[in-house]
Amino acid sequence: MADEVKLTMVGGNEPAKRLHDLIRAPENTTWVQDKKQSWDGNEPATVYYTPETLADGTPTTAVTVILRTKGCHWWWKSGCTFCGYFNDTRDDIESAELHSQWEYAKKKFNDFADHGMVKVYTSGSLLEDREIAVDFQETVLRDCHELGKELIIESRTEQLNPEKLAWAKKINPSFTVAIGLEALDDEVLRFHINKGFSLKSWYRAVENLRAENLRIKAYLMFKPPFMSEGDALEHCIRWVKGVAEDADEISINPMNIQRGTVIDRLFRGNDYRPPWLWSLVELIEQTHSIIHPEGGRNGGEDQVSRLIIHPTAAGRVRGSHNCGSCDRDVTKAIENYSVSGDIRELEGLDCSCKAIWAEEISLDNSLPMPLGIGLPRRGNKIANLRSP
Amino acid sequence: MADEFLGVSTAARWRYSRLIGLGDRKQPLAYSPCLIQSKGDPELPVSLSPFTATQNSEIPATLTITAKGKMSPPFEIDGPTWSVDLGHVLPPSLDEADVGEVGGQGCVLPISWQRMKHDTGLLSLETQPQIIVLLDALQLANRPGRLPEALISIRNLFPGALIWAPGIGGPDNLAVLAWMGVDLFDLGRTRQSLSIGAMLTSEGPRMPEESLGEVASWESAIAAWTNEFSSVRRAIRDGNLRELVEKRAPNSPRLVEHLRYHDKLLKHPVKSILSSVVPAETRLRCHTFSSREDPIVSDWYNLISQTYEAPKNMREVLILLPCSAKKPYRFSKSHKAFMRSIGNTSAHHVMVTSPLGLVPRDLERIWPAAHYDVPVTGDWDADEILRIRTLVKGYVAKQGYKVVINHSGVELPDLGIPCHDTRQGDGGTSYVALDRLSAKVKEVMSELGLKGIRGHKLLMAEFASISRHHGLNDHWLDGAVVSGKPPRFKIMLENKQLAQWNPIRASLSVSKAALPIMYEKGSLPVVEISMEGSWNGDIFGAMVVSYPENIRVGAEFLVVKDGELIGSARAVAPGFEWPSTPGRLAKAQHRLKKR
Repeated sequence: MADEVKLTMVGGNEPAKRLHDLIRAPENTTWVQDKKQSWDGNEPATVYYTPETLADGTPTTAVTVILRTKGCHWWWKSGCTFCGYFNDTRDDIESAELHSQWEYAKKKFNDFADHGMVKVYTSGSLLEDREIAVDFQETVLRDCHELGKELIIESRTEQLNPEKLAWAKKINPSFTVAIGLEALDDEVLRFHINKGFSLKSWYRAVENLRAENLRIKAYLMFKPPFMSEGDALEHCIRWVKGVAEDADEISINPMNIQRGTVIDRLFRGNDYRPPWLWSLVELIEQTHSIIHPEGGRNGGEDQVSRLIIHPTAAGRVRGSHNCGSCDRDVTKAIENYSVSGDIRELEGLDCSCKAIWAEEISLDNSLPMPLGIGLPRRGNKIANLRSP
Repeated sequence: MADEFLGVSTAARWRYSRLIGLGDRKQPLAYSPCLIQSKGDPELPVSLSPFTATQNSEIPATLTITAKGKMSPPFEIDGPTWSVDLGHVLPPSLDEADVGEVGGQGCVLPISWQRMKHDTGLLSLETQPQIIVLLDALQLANRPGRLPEALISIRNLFPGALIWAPGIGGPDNLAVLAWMGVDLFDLGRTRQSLSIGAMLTSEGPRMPEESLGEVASWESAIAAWTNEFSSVRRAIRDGNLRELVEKRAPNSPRLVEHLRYHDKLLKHPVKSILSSVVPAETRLRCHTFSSREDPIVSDWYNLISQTYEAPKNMREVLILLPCSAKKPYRFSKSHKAFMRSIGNTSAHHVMVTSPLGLVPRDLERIWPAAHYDVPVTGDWDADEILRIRTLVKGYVAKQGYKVVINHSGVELPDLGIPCHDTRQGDGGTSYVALDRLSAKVKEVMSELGLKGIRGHKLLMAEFASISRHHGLNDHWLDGAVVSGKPPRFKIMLENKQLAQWNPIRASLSVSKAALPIMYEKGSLPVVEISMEGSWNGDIFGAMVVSYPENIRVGAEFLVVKDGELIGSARAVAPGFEWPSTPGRLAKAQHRLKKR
């Protein structure tokens, strides 16, 4: 008869964990460790090509080489809330393996002969010596320069100091550094992302890259964890406006759910839903005048930056999605805009679910619900409205 | 802003739900439960929506709540207006983490599950909050058991505050949420419904019926809210909110879950929420399966199985009888027949019933035994039979009876003592069954050599039992006798009247003369107060030094100041509201002259 009664109001028996502990926890699970050990260190995680645009606006294709590495040094200490790249890493990858992977990619795509651009992604920072052997950094920089390919690498901000950039510039005088800025807001970087660097570090990196006349691509996260759809839209618009002058390209990464991450846990717990595709459309509409002040398109003279959105897993519940019936058309329009920069790509988009999205945004902005009021977007609409 | 206070007064209460007057208590501008209006809502009358809420777009945001009229003393200008930093909120699924960055505090307190678990500052706030905003109510509502647990915790720690659970309220769950203690609601779900052309009614969301010209509009939406607020407020006043809750809970599976978890948590409440005495017209209508889990039912079950003691001179023979529709049972035709057949004996009558299980004759006049209604079909379902059998078995063993005469018609398990079935398949009031009952009682009493007990001694045993239940013991009745005529029997001790039975309240009204005896014998709980000068008014929170947390509405207690008994009072607020709920906690009954 004596049911256990426990009412929560501080003072539980177990000591509280830090958010950092929760981010790291999945990596220690057996399935992650087994998965990591199963990778062949001599082959890249994946190599593929996609349509792209060169810096001068010329259409081309880009080979993306995702290397299997030791991962990101920030992950070794703490990690970003949304990051699932640890799934793809091995702890024992050294220079030899990296070179093997690089050769594999080059061989697969015939030294990238048919492609104008190469993107080299490392689940971390290519220019971070603790993660990537310096001789391999040099190989990538040199090969791409010698092959005449536009190179895009990824990096956090800390590595982009004058000395390192000067060294890299000597090897490859023209490449693009893509930085996972995620948010132009220190509070969001700290609490929502656990990014491990601040805006000060971002601005310093921008200054250093500009000094070397290197191109900058900024990744912004759309709807980080612990954020409502309304806040995500409002703030991402601000962030795009804030980085447009500093970044040659702005790539919006709408949150998708990667296995084993904190965001995956939230998603499974019904505490988080990936963004609406309508929010991405609204983001484009609200920021187009910043990217193209005179209403132009990519490659046009009025182009301040380039806004790119390729929503991963679009149309699926683990990626950006709408009601299910309009997702394909909306995704296509967003993808097309990313290539053309032409706002007319979004014309004619409509669906009955747009009103639901609009109300969600309005309510997120008017009710004190930092985690949002959003409901499931699929299934019976009336059933979804039943009392929580 | 922190100095502005909201004028509040409790107009009615039923368990965790309250009708709080907002503004000047002499003339409140509005009452809770009510709406709080936010950006994008239509303009609403103050009586329905006395507050507005706005927030900025920063991360974390700042929330501002403003009263839409003169609600802050001295009630000369509109207000109060409060602003508070909402802080960062981690979702409940990460509740083991403490980010150490909580929201602000003051008259508005933003709270989340995570803050509830980790912010020890909540236990020692400088300013007692007047409005609590449960920021992750929606997320908590999606996790079994979390919302009821959060609301009970908040209610117990901040009984005087109004609770707002943003984004989850609607006419379909207003009763359930109010039952769990939510005071403030918003139009979030209504707006979500309107966005797809649906109506959010008291039965849940649905599309309008066009054949009757129905449309999903703000007009129909506000009408739905107004109707449900009226139903809920009226039910709080009338003490029958549970009935409405049981009608609304099936509107969604989640609501059923919330109610079940809430009931479960209140089976052994940390602080009392119940009443010991209720107005005569109050009914406990147990018309649904879930009414069996009503906290008052669980409380009664606990009483019978754990603390109740049969009258001392009636612990040899137990007669189990069926219940009757009429309450108290003794006034029903069937029980008059039973009592005629049994006669004046020392056998203890205990009624077998649902959902209370067992009701001893000596407690049949009081709440809830005298107030419950249950549909009578003549059949017991499996759950009822299991509950009754379990209860009877434990009860018989605990009380130490020697013989059971079972006239209830319920087949009982082996009780370890002789048990005589006097029904044997016949109706309880059939001549043959009544004859069998009468014969068996005589036979058993004779075998055990037990004598009859005269009427006034039976009454004394009954009042002593009620005293043990409503108070702490019956020692103050030692040597006392019952005199006078029904229904207002008197309890006398050496020509001094100690108490009188009040049939309207269904409790004993103790006299001034009884107070020192009760104090000496520890027969009533004691509330210690402290104040300048003499005690003139009622009992208010600010004067309370110590109190029993299990105090119930309607319960009498002794009032002590500076170690001296100064009178008695009757609680109007249950234990969970003590001592910090604004307004009167108890009404003075007697004041003793200073010796």
